[in-house]
Amino acid sequence: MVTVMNPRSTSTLVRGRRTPLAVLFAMAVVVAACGSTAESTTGELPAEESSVDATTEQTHAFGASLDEFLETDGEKPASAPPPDGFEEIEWEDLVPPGSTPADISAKFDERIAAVVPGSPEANEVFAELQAEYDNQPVNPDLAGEAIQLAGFVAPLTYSGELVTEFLLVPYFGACIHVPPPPVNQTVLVSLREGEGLTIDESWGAVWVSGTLTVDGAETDLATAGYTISDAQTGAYDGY
Amino acid sequence: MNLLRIALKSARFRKTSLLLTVFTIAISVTLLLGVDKIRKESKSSLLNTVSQTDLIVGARSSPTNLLLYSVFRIGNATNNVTWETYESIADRDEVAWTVPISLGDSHRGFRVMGTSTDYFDFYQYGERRSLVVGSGERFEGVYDAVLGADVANELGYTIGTEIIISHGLVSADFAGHDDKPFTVVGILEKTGTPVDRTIHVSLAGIEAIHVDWQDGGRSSVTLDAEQALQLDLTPTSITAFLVGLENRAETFRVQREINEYPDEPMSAILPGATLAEFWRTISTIEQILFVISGFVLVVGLLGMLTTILSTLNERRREIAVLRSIGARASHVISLILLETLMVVTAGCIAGVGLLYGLLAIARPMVARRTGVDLAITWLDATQLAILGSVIVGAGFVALIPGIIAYRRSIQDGLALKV
Repeated sequence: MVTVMNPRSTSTLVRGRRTPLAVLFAMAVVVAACGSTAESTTGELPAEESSVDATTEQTHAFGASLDEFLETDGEKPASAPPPDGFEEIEWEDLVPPGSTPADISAKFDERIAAVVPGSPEANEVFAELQAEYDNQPVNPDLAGEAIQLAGFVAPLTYSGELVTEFLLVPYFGACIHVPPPPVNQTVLVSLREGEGLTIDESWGAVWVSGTLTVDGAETDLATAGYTISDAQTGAYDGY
Repeated sequence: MNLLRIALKSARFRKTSLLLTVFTIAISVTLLLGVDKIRKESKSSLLNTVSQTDLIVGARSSPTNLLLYSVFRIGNATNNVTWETYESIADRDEVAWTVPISLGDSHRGFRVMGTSTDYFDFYQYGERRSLVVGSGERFEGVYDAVLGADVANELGYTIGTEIIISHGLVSADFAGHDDKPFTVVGILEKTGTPVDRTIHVSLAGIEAIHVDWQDGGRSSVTLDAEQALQLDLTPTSITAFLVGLENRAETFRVQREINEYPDEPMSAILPGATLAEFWRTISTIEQILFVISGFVLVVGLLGMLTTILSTLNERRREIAVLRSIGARASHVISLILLETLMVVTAGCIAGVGLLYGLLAIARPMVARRTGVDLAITWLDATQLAILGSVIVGAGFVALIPGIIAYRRSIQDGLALKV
């Protein structure tokens, strides 16, 4: 009796546990599947991340500022401390005092008020205003400062798959879809040896730290500009 | 006898099905690694086609189109830029150098590009690499031509060969400029860029072959090569031009001024930024490929699971015997796990071998057809991660038959009827 009962009871036992076994099976398959696809796409362009990117592109208009892009509602995100000795600056700091866009248009207020809108004279005044806006001076006080600045990337040079030189600008999509920023809102960045941004990183917000060089601040406008050589960089979303 | 030897000996009796499983795994591994390899190489080849050029200027069109025809010689220009406009921009203070480009003719399927000798000085690719004239010299005369490495290779041309350029982009000879042959004076070293597949001549040469062509056909008054030389061969228009700036921080301002040039609608693009944008548009395809090969791998692993599960029945007696001579539950599971890992590792090794074999065969062909050099290198971090995840995934999958085998070994006595 006992010998007959034993296998039977074991088999009921096993039958009873079939369900957890099936669950385990399903889980193992899922784990294996996820494990392989997730791991296999850890290259430059993970599928999940790119779908996030796609929504980013939908929700953020070209020309979005950093705050709009990161949806911080003007509240500064808790910032990662810049490397030792580097001071975090804002894009407004790159404009010398007395030359902000508001200052420039203030200079033209009277003349704009005096002309008939749409007349040739008016066009002339606006052209002058635009020219002055385009040629905003750089801020010589920043020369040699070790700074950290966040912004968007217009790639210039690649090494393999990585962006190694780029123009840093304050607006998303500046190079392609919206009017480009003036010279004093553009920083030419050369990364130090071994550093690089992937194309996906270069599509989002990045931070850059390094020593700012200011060229032609007081001499020739045509050579003016901010440069950071030997820069370090990274994606801004770590903030 | 240790477990490994038992596993090996046992596997020998199920050779065929296990070998087939190894083969399935190998194919999926090759596919995964191959897609990764092709993606990386084509990306880096694409991104490194042009460097140190600050702006590319052409008639008003989409940035991608301008980039494709001016750098990759794919597609055609929507319109030309007049020579006067080109000169006025080349004379600007901010502009350090310009290289004019004139496209539209071909020779036996290879594009012919009219340019100035500045092209050899200023065109750069990869990391600040310049073009090198491997043999011969740069073009000087109107009817001189400098060949890209692939052109010379494929057509078997050497210095001194005379070539006839066809009008338009057909490779047939019926629209040939056969009265004005060009002489090969130089051959460039291989670059891995579309330059390899281009025939370079002077702008005057392009003008010369078109002097007696009017209204899209050859006019009744024909001029021979010598007579054409007497004419003023300054071009009236060019297809596009490359610009290098004195100060690259000014790129945006010059770009805007060219885009808003009052006398002629033009587009100026930043090659680097346009390349990145272009890559993002086409990278979707690559992601889809990756997902598909991921699924192929999952199917491969499931196939392996099926094979092992079906052989479990055959092995009931074997396992029962092992249990009776003192094998513990952990031994049974380890045995199945070991077998799986052997199969998967063999599959991975075979897959990598297959990949390198295919690369070696396909490399010259791919390089010739697409200009992408599939360099044979060691497996990189991503690829090792792929292999690792395949093995780990297989380990998880193997737990299922392992646990089943163990459970059965409890119920089955030695007296089981198979």
